Amino acid sequence: MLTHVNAQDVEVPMKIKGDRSHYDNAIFYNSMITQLLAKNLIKFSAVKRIPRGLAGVEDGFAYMISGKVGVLLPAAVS
Amino acid sequence: MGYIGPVANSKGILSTDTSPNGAFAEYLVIDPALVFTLPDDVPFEIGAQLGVSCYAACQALYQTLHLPTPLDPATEPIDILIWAGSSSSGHYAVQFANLSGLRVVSTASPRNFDLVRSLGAVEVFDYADSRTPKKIHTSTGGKLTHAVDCISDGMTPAQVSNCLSKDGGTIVTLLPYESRKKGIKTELIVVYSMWGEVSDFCHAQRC
Repeated sequence: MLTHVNAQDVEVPMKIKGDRSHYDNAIFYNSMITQLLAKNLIKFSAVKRIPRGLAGVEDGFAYMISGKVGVLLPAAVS
Repeated sequence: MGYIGPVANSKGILSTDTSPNGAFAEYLVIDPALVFTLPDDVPFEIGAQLGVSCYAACQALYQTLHLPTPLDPATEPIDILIWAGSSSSGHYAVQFANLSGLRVVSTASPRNFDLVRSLGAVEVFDYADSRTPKKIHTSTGGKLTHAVDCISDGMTPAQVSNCLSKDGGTIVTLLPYESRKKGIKTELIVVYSMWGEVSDFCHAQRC
């Protein structure tokens, strides 16, 4: 299917060429991320936990549609 | 100890050809080389945000722009623009760039200026201000050659392009586009390329 992004033609689904180096890079990234997390060097975004598992999906979408996502929350998990 | 990989992201997407699959599964099958360790004091509700955003930051800064990493940071500051520093990807791109010893310039809405500064940006500009590209161009002495466009839609292709040096540069994009400014190259990253295999990528809003 041909669609448009920024007024430019884009074919979707887009074929992503396999690249073994990306896999090797990812292994390095995982090691690095593990180290940074262990040293407490990463700051997390605030998140809001929507209760009731899958049953909460509807509430989650309603929350997003209401435009409240992006508002800073007072606690990391509220 | 928990393990978080690309599956544990807000989009709930596993490698497209992987089976068994399931966006809301409690247990997942994944290549053990493609996970990182979540510290004991970080709950999964927090860890779930890390997957795609951290990988995107790494692919943008290190795989595409070949910049120094936090494990071997730059000794001389290198300017980089992270457009939309308070976005999901920007939140981590700013941090990784800062940890890599880069001089981070970013954009956000004014209410998020302090947040983006706290992540490591030395200067933050209003993304909606038409003068911002010129301000960033000036702030970087007209020599900016590295940018990550964490929106890659609407006005940002032109806005980010106008921040860069007249001699050109590279913009890493999260959606495909080509800059209309001469000498500026754009490079699309797709986190799912980390499987190293051919795959189909489909933007959820357009498929």
